[in-house]
Amino acid sequence: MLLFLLASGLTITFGLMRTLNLAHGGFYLVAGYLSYDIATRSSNFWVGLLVGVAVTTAVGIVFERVLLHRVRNDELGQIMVTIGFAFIIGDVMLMRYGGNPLLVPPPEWLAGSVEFAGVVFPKFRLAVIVVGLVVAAAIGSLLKWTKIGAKVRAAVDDNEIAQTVGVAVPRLFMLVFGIGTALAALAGVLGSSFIGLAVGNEFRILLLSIVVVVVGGLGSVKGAFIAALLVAFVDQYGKLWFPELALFTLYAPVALFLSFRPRGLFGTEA
Amino acid sequence: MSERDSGMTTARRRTWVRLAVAVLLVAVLALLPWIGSSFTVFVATRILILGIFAMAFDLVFGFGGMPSLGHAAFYGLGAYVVGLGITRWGWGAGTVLVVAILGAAVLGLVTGMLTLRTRGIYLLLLTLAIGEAVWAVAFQQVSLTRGDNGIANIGRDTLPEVVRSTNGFYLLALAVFVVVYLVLRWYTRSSFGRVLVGARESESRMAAFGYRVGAYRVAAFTVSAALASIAGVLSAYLIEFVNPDVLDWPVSAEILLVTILGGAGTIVGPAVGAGFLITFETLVSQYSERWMLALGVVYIVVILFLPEGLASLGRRVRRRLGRQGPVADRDESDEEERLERASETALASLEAGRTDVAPIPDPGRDAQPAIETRGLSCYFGGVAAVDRLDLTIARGERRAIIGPNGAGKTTLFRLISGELRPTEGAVSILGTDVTKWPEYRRARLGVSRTFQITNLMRRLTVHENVLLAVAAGAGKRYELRDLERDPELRERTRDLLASWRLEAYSGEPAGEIPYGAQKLLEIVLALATEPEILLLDEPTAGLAPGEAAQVIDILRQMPESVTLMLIEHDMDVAFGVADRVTVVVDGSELVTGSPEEVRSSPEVLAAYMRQVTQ
Repeated sequence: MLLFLLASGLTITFGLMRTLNLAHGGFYLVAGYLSYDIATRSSNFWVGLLVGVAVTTAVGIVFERVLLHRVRNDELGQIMVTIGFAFIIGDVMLMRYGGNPLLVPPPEWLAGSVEFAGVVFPKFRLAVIVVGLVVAAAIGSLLKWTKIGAKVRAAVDDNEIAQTVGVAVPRLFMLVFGIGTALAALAGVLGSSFIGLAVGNEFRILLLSIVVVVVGGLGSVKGAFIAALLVAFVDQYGKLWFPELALFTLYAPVALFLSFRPRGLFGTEA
Repeated sequence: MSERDSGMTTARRRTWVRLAVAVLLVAVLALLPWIGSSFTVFVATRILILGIFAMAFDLVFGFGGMPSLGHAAFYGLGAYVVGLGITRWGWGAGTVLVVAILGAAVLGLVTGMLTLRTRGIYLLLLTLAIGEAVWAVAFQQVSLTRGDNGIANIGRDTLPEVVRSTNGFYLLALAVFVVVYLVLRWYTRSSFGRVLVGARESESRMAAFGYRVGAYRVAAFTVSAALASIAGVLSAYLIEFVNPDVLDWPVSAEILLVTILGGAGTIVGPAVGAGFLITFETLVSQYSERWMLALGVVYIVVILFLPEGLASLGRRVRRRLGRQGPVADRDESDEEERLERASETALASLEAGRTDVAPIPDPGRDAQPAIETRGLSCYFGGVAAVDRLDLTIARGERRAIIGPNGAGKTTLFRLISGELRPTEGAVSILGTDVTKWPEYRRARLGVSRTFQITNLMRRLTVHENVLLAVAAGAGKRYELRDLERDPELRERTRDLLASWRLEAYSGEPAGEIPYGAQKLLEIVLALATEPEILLLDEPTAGLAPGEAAQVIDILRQMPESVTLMLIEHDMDVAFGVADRVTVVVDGSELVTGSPEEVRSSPEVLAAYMRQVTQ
């Protein structure tokens, strides 16, 4: 579910802006560290979450406005710029917080675990699953039912035509990039509470979510949802069955899959 | 004649000057150990190694137009072969090198084949996944590779004694650098390199010439991987340590960065980029620990301000200084006149030159129709674009296929050229059943085509465009020699350009010449392979009326041995060129007959009227 949160942000930025945002992991990291910082100072998880997500989203929007929009329509350029930004974020975080892994303490009422049908679930993970489902439903209905959603879908389908019929695509881009960043930030805050925070981790989890996005089909939220489950499943069982080959069993099938179905499960013709 | 001679000698003199400069440069570099500190020599060695890697990478990226983000796999493979071979298996340097090159070549071959169906960002993601899969093996096969800790204490004991010292190793790296440069120089001038670049510009055009594009891509990946692994081998010997980081994607991203920085699509540019990046890294590291931060800034600055590399900076400065290209003094209004003259001379040359290249008569083959379709059908999601169509076009015939919009003309065209496979039915060309043949094989039978929207290798010169077509026509598709040095190809290319009056544009990028000339070049390219069957897809679309008339003239006077099939929307063009006309409506044949018969057919009129009223 965490993977889905991260991947859904990635997939909607790609779907609309055709930007493969490799700084996505960086935003995950920023939000995680910020919320850690604020949560430990104010000893309130929720303040941390709120501030972390808000500030990160603002950073993302500024990044899009100032740098990224200059390389629109240049996929490779966008990739390189976002890689550069990710390196900068990573190094700044390293400077500020050091290299030791940190763990954000979750709020108390989510700290324990519940037993259900004989299986023990940590409460916090359940909460993450709930958030994931809510977000999936929210994005789905946003795209499907609202006017903004219609505009987004129109712009995805044909950017130029959408502009000529009066959709303010640049503003929409900013909005979508903001939403994408916010999702990364949310994933960052939640993720830091159970996998911990460390510079360098963001790229591993970014790669996983790229796998999710790619397998699901670039730009498809539904695809991302299904692929996140699939990838998490393969990842977990890979670790269980072939611990020495776990990552290989993830990437190698993805490579094969891509070479025969480059557009993923639900991808559309580019 | 004397003018050409003096031109030749200037060119030759320039080559000599270049060679002298290169030798001098290498000699100066070779002196470095005697003038620089050992730290400088170490840094210089790193630059050379990264330079080798970047040059190898650019074969795929710049020349091939394939943005790989998995090249670290080949580089790291070389490094790991050193680490494992020496510390575990006790191999000598020779074995290490051979195993590394072969291993990387095989991996490159597989990668190249896997990427055949992908382009652009999808290719990038696929190569990323392959690279990460290789990384995962090194990272997690702890018992073999010691995982994240890496393999230390590699040592240079297995190397010959002269190259064990810092200075000796530097000279070795320099020698390898020169060799790799020469290999790439040779490769990019052979038909392997030239077709690769042609396919970067236009894959469909290269396939229409009869080149099997995929083979050239896979070959490029294989060679690039093998050369990259050599860089990896050197790097492991240099730092005497290897860990999974050398396989990870930041290495792939970095090589992409230095290649863009130095100038993609050139041989030595990427190496210059490597020099800049490592020099910068060395400087930054002396004053600060924030190299990643600086590197991030470099990424952004390069993409935003130097997307075409350092070399473009020089070009931009020169343009500012007011040096203008030869295009500027030519006026667009001359174009019509130029075209007119072009068609005149071209016609003359067609008449004069064509008779002596007429194919050896082969009664068995000649008796066969040029194109024959049987029950040809093509469905798109249940809709029949072409519906059980039987068509026979005799050799030497000029057949026009006309019909209202959406009648299936273009689908039919693509089924015959081989761009599309039929759902049902068969296509025969010159008596051979080619239904399952890909486009490039049909082209080799003698089929050539034009494209409705001009489809040129836009960034290659007009000369290079024609050269590729001529080479394909001459069957020189896998030539190891420099194509430019083949006197036969050179001469034929020059003759074609001269007879079509395109020689003035010869050295200019095809995408930058006037549209009328581009359209003409389109036809020249289709003819340059000396086809027996020429398929034309709306050859006059987008031309001014005067230009269109000239194209019709050219087509009318094609030698009789060439069969023409013409898809047309414009009735005047169709009736002007064809001796038989087939009207296609809703994917089926409505009428076939002489232009007069078709013109007076009430059914045809009805079919067109139906469309108007709808």
